[in-house]
Amino acid sequence: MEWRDQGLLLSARKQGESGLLLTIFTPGQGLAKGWFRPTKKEVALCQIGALGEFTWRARLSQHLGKFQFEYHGNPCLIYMDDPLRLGALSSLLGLLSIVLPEGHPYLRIWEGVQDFFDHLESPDWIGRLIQVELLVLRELGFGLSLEKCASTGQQEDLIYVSPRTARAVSREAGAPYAEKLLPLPAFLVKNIEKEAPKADELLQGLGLTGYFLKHLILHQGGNELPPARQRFEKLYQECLRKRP
Amino acid sequence: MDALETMIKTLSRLPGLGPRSGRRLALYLLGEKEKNFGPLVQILQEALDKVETCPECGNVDVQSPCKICSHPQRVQSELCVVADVSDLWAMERTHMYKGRYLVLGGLLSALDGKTPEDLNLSGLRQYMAGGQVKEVILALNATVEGQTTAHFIAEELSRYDVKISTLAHGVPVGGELDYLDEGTLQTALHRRRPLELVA
Repeated sequence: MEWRDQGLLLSARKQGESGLLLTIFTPGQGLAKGWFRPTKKEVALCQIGALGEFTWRARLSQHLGKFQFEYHGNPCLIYMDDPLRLGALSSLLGLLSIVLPEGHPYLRIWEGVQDFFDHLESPDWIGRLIQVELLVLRELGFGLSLEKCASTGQQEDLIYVSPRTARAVSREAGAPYAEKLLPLPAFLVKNIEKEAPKADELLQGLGLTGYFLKHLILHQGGNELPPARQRFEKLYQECLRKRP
Repeated sequence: MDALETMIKTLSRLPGLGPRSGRRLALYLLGEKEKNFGPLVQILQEALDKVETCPECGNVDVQSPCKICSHPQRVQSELCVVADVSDLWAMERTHMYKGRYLVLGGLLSALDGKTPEDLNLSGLRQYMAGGQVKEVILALNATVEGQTTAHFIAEELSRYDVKISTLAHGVPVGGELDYLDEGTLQTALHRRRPLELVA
């Protein structure tokens, strides 16, 4: 059995003295694992975030196959000096390696991740990261319903999300329960004119996706948010605190 | 399992060795017991008895504090943070750095479950509390994990009045571009610097 696909390296764990156990995410195969014996030159390239062409071979599909890898690039290496972007990339890659099931293609998530990589230099790159996390939730069957108020059905003035139902709640309907509801940043609400999100809205967005990732997906395996995701949110908070 | 089998099995577990080389090593040692085996056992026993982890920097040495920490001419105002003892020894082989060290004991890694609590941050805080350190050099791997750890430590150190620096990344000395991997070239290109001309 053999397949060839483009892929994103999510983790490379040492296996034996010279081998690596790779976990990759591909558009056609989803999450895939396999063994790879890198040459001296390839060792440096086998870092999380590496993009390339992967060939996987095994006798049976259930076997831990062997990879061949042709390197194309790695966005993480470009942002080695940028703690926030490097943190965001580590966070996303760590999250994908934990939440995605093996052998199930998620083409929309793949496209979302590529779009995020393409817009790392754009001003709203954190907003795009939040959109990818929402996409992960949606594709795994835990999408947030943010189009209309869960209580009144109105489509305006949506400022809360119910932590129980993951549905938007309007200001009026949510007022009595404001302390229990999660804040919904305006840039995530559909049917409104898109504006560049403000820093505190981005922080709210990270809090929102973090909450649902933890309670709807990672909770089932008894997991917390990946440490890299926790660190990224903390780092962003710290950046905002220091900003004059 | 008898002593010989145990010996072969233990030797074959050492880094770089397997069952075949374990057997070969055992036969070599047993071949000339007095010449090879006896002295080796003595050396190993002595190392086991005397080698300690330095309480100040985390290096391993036969004295505590280690020779680097107790050296009077080491520059007290410079602290080099490394991930492991092997990195400390690599830095020492340059004969260029004359300051002090701190071994973190690993790098932040979600995969290996290494969190800030697993790193020797208390040792770092002790150094900083001493007030002598003016520059911290983060000599960590040029990998995603290494640089993530460097950023984390830089953030930790931001509350102190110290200069924070990292090792440069890019084309190695004697490196030919044609033979460099794409990752190194990408990094080198991204961090290119202006060439200074003689005035």
